[in-house]
Amino acid sequence: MPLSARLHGTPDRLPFVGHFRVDGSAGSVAFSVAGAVSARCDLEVAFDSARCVERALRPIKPVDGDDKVSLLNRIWAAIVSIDGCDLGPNRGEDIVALIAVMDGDGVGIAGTGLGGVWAQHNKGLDPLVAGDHPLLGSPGRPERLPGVLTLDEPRQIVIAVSHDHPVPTLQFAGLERRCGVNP
Amino acid sequence: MSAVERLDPRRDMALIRDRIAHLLDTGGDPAPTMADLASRNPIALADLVVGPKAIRHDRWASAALVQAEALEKALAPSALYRRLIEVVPDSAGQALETAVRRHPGAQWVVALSRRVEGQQAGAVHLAATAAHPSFAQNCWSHASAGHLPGLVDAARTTGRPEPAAALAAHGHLVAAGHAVVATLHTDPDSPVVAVVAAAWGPDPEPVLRCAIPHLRSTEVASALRRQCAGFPSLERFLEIVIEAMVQR
Repeated sequence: MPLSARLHGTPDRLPFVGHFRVDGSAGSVAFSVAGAVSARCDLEVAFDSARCVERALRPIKPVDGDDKVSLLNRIWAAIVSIDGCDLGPNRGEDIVALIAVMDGDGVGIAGTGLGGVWAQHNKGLDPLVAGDHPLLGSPGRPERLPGVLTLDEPRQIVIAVSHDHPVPTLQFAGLERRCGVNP
Repeated sequence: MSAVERLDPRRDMALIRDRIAHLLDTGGDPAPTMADLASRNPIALADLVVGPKAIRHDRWASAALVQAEALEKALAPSALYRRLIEVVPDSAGQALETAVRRHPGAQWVVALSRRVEGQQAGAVHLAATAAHPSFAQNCWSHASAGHLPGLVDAARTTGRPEPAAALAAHGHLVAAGHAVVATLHTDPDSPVVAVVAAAWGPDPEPVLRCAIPHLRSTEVASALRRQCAGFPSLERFLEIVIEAMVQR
């Protein structure tokens, strides 16, 4: 079953400055990471930083039978291990990431710099967290994952907005394009 | 010298019209007459240029464009230029250039471009505003209006990445791919892939694959490959394409 993490773009002409996305799966295990880095910096610097994050995550190959928490930790370790010099003038302190992993027991969601997280289904969006849930917070790369949300029921599409996104609720119509997912 | 300096535009319009028609028929310069009317009565001048009984002569229309500032005081700019190209179609190109120069970011210039340039709509507007802050907005407006050849032309003329990004953002993938190549042809260092990704999303490969059929030189193909270094499968494919181009 596919799993897709998506970070909503900013509401302007170039919504996906510094956006990255990497997916992987094996059997019943899957992961998906979507985020942005250096999004307020020079466009080319942001592009290179985003590709750097993708290069760090691409070698992660889940194995059927992997546990979702250990997979989450491997993904986070890969992000933390990136040299700050490769992540723009803020050295990765502005990184926003949504990480979703799935194993046979359900879904785990973690991230950094998120302002809201929803699960998408055929008819709309369900908010997954509210208030001061540890999944929501400041951007950056702390040593350990700031918070993990586990869901027993399978979710295929998880959407987040960054902590500084001006619209805290999402409109369903046209959502895929606004997350940089194109037909 | 003005041919109508002793005539009153509020009273003698028929006579003024006759004098100007005679002036044009005899090869006289309409500029002094135009300047005289512009300073005394811009509304009367607008009537003579784009009114129901407008003087339909290309030299009159050209002289009118020199007095665009005065005419725009009498008539909304969008209506002025639209009507001028209806009255004197031969002046359309000059009218569009004047409109673009005076109103580089105006939305109505997009529709005017369509009327004047047809299939190539946007080429004049975008080439003229490449250094203006409204350039990106203009690219998005032309892409939204479906002016695909004009945007590709602008990419080639300016070497700027915005035309390709605007086409991608509006879902015109084939034209966006063409514009990517046109951009790199003019400026191999233009950050076109980064800007397309910022407009389209983190996986721009569907757009960039549309560029491949338009590649005609190894220089441009190599420039594209350098910018695709973050997309391994596309980079590998471009290496194969470049190798095939070299062998051919």
